[in-house]
Amino acid sequence: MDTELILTLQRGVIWDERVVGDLFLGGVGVGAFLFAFLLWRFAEERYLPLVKVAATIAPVSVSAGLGLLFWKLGNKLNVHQMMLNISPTSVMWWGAIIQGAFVALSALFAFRLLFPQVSLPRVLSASVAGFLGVPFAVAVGIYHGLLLAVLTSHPLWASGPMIVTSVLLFTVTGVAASVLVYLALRAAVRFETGPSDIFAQGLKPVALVLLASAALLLVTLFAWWVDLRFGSVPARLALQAMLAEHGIVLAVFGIGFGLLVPIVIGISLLPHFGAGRTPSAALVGLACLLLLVGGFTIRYAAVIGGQLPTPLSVMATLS
Amino acid sequence: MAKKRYAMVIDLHRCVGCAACDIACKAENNVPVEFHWSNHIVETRGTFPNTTFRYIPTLCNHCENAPCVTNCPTTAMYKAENGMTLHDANKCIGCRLCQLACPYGVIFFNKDTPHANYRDSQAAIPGATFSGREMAERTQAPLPYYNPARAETYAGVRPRGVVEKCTFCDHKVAVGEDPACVTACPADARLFGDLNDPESKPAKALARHRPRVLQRDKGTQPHVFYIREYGKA
Repeated sequence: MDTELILTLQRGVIWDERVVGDLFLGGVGVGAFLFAFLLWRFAEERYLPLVKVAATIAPVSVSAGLGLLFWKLGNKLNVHQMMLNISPTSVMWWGAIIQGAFVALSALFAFRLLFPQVSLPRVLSASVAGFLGVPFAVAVGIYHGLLLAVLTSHPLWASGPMIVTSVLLFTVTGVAASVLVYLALRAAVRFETGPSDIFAQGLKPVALVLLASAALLLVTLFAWWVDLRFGSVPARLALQAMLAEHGIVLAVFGIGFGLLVPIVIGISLLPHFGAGRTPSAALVGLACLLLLVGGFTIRYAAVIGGQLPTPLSVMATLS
Repeated sequence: MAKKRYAMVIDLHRCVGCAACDIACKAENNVPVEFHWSNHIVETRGTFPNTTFRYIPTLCNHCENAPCVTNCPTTAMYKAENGMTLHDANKCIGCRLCQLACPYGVIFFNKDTPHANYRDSQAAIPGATFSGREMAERTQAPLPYYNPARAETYAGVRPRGVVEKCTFCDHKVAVGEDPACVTACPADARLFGDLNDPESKPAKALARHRPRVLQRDKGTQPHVFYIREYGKA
């Protein structure tokens, strides 16, 4: 007879799709902000519409994510307790502070870009908001990985690749969301961007960064798998359980359609950036959409799959 | 005088697996039926006649290095001076991070208003038995087994939206009594006391027997120790 173990635990997923949404939208917001800031600092004037779109996405996306997290709280009326009680050992406590600061700074940055004619003190300039916002953006990105990685009782989360995955996800999804929304808006409202081939040529570095990040994400996911597959017994069991439950979704929508297909599209489009040619907007949009689907799927599999119950054989270990 | 460091020792040779500890805990702490502050792992292994049976009582380990405390964003989960890991329901925001951080599955979340069975008008046997609601109304208490003493140091019944867990019956310990699970154990398998006092029951037991803890590799340094155990098949 096989070993039979019984322990009655509280059933159900503890962090549901709302937390997945928070992490996903937080990543999109952070990536969009950094994208907007870099374009605004280093790109030409003609890219300002894209900068404005990305800058607007940042605070909206992070706020929406925080809204989802707030919705998830069991006792919402007590949320002020996070401000009344200092808890420096809690990653979530730090997250609330840095996300609050990031939303304020990114909103100011977007406001200054969208309404430059509004007169405000110099200290509230786009430059100040942008430069101050960058470290907060990076911190929020790392926070989203660290929030899960510090929970050592969940082997799927408590690994280095989890943090790297989070950082890469915000790069990929933030840029993808900005370009996708920009393309949609451009189809509806004609932006003055000059000749389209010259405009596309300037975006070649963005395409390269997006491709490199997506490829690096694939490598990191592989490293994550290796880390768990050849790690401790609980890590192996957690990976096994996650793949059994979410493996197909992760493989098809997270890696296949979410990373490999956009990488192939991106590589095929690279020669079209510049030299009198323009990449197909539909294909660029499709690649961005797929990257977003992939980013959400990876988050989903990691967050929901990472909570599958610890095997009772592990929980019953006395030593 | 050294600070107190409360701990519990569970003697697996003495434990008979009657679950009186689980029932006593529920009654003492007004714990909803579906929650298990005091719980147990049952393991059967092997093929007849070479079989073993293990019964491991579990509860909050009141860890020295408690991940629920470290991760709580509002300090609702905290370490008391006496080593107990306690919870302040008034500060809890219900983020459930403590539940995720705890490797032992001993923290429970009130997704709905607790003790729903005592608001239910449906009788178990219609026309023959009370409904839960009738029983609660006749006893004039939130639940028929409501213990008002619990409310002295913790919410008497923890409200919807917050977590709850074992407190080592801190309200009883505060008046010099043992936790309910210790008192209820018919085999004296549970020993409770101050580890900093070498004359206390748990300190003596740990000096005599090799202490073991659940999931030692997690590094949480539990304050619930297990001694002695029958061999495995």
